[in-house]
Amino acid sequence: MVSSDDLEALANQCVKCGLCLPWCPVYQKALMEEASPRGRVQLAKRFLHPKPGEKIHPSKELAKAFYTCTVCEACSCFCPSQIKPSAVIQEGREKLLAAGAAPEPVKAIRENILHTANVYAGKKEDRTSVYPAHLKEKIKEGRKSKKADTLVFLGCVASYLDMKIVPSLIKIMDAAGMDYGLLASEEICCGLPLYVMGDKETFGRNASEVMAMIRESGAKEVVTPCAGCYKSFRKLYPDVVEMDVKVSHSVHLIHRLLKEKSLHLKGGPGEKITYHDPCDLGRSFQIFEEPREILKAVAGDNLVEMEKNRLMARCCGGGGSVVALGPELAADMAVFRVRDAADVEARIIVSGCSTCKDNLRKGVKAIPKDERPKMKIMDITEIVANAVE
Amino acid sequence: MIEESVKEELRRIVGEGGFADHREALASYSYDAFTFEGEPEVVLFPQTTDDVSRIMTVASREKIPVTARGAGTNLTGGSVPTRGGIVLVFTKMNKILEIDKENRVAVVQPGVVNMDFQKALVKYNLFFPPDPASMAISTMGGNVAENAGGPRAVKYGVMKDYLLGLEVVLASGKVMMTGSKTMKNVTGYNLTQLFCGSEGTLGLITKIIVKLLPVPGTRRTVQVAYRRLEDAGTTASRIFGMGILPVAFELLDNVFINIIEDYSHLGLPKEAEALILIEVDGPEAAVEAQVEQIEAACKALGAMEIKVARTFQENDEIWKARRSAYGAEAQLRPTAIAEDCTVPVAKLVAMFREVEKIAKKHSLLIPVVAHAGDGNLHPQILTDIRNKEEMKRVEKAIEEISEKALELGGTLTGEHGIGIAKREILWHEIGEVGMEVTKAIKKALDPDNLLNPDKVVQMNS
Repeated sequence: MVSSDDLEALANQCVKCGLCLPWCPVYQKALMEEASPRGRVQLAKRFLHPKPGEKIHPSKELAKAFYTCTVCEACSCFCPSQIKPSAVIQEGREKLLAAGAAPEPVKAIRENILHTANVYAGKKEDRTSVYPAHLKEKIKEGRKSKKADTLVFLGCVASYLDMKIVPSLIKIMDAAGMDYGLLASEEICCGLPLYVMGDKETFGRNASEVMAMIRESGAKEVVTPCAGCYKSFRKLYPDVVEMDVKVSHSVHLIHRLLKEKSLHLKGGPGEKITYHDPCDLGRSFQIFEEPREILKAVAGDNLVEMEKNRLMARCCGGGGSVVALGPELAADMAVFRVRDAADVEARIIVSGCSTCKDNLRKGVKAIPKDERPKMKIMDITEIVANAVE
Repeated sequence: MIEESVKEELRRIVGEGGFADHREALASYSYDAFTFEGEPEVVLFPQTTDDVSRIMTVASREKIPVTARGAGTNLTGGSVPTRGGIVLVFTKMNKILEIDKENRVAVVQPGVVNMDFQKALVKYNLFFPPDPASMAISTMGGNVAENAGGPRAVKYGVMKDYLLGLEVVLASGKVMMTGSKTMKNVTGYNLTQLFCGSEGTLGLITKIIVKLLPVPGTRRTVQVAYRRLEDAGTTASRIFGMGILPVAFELLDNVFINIIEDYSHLGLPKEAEALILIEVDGPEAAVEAQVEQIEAACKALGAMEIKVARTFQENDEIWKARRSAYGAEAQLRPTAIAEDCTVPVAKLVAMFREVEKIAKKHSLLIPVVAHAGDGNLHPQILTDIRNKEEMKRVEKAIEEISEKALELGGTLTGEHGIGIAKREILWHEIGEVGMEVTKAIKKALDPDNLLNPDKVVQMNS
């Protein structure tokens, strides 16, 4: 983690060249300096480390600038001076939240996590609504335990919002004859939204709770279909809690099962598909080739590449608090990504992130009907589950 | 101070979404890529020529200074207000109005991003050569106002060479069309070119007509390292002498080679005094032949190392060194001041040597990268803007670099413009009469000194 002094030095090192602007999905839509990494860094400087006379105080506008960042980290990836704008902006959010000036929808998410252990304020028992019937039955009859070498951590979005990711992942694991445990309705939010909004303290406490559950399950490996949970566990947890368990994304699991020949695939969808790199897997961990190898196995030559891919992949707009603050803005960003896919004549966008899937679907709908491309959005677990024999 | 009632009037013109005067917005439009900062009183985002014309009508009536801005990548302070007033941001006037394949021309709004325009041309098999380093984000309006160019200038020239016509909103708010969609046009004064490079001081560009080229066949890059800088200079004249006009001819000096190698570990020869990148383009067979000729010429001149790209991917590999230059230098010192003096190509090596001497004299670290094919040097003065003592030496060095460039028959700026950065020394190059004419033109078009005041020339001095 970067210290506050280091962040000040980094912010001062910004030469304001503006070469982060083309990489920022928010700037690409808003076309305003306050909605750009450079703008946010300059505002952070004036808020956190001002020169005499230039102090900027907490305000609605400052909060909007800091919280309409999707945390895609493309700016930090491509800053010629390597000043890590996303880290500087993160510090801005931390101080703003501490000053009580975070936007109301962000505070509401925090309350939801604190009181209901999920971002949507969904009921605890509803976490398992998406489970396939046979699994629900097993759980009901007490035949499905948490205890197994592999623990599946499903994440809030796949549990409460998406109807297909969970059953698809289960289908894949069942097809491979795997033994796995589930936290079922006991699962709680991994805490990533808390971290991103700037509440490191609560994030740390939440992480300890999650890790206690994982430890109790006796699992040697945690598998999650959620890119956000994966980032939490791999990148953020090690700073706040002892991580003594292996963490894999469903992409890793599927890749491994295919390699071991534990999964057998029939033909793919017969349409052109393209892979959208989720920021939390791609730029965060350089997980680029495994998902493509999986999709190659599913779709063969029907796998096409968008112009902006891998490290340069355009964020779908679903990250950070943008969806909560400005759903239209988030959907408008997704429109760009859907058009990227249409440009290479893809008919299906596959991602490895439940948030990407949700937001890209909104992106398709946000395109006026008369120019809307035929485009289906799927998670990688779904397309593999469909192809499982 | 802009009165509330006037702000209200401006707000009505651009609508709620196009108006901002909150503290955070003013701070966000107080800078560009130069060191000087200054806040406006209002930020406006026009959407149409009519918006711009009506804003200018109010501004001229109320005597409010107006600073035009695109993406704000300017390196000489051209997009920073010096007297408050209005910052007029053109990023939302970003439509490509017409791509006319048959006549090889296009009409764009000023907020269109250079790179977006380039991409849109691909499917028409057309090509727009000006390639400033900021092209991924800088706007066509800004590119015209700064007469922008980049590495491809050796063969293809700069913005002015592609500019056919403009729509301009004058200080009064009146709208003027200049030029036409024709390749030839000698009707009256060349008003189009008057605005090209005027840095927002003479009028506000609201529409741009440019000519386009067919896409050249293929391109190939050659990287050559020399133990002596002089051999790199000779290479340029040899290659031109053989009748080869490269697209780009870039040169990195020994200081830069070492900074880049320490940072990127590309395997560059650290003892080399010069690393050159030569790119040629055209039909496959011709490019192949030219690459062979270049290779032979460099060998004959005793090159330490020659790398020829065989594929587009290998081209990119070679350009990595050049591309990591600014990232590498940023690791050393917090501030980099990019100079851009330009000399006749034959004087390039002499200018490199002068910069070397100046760096030594003032104990400064000044790596140099040059668009050597057109004599354009970028001495990068690495410093820390907070270190007052060192900044004094930096200023002295900049002055001496500029003086030397002029002595060698060159110019103060080849790409970045005058802006605030070089306005005090403008007269050194254009002389007293040049200053009189410049001021007369400014006065004729902007009698109240409202358009980007204090840039290029100061009217009250």
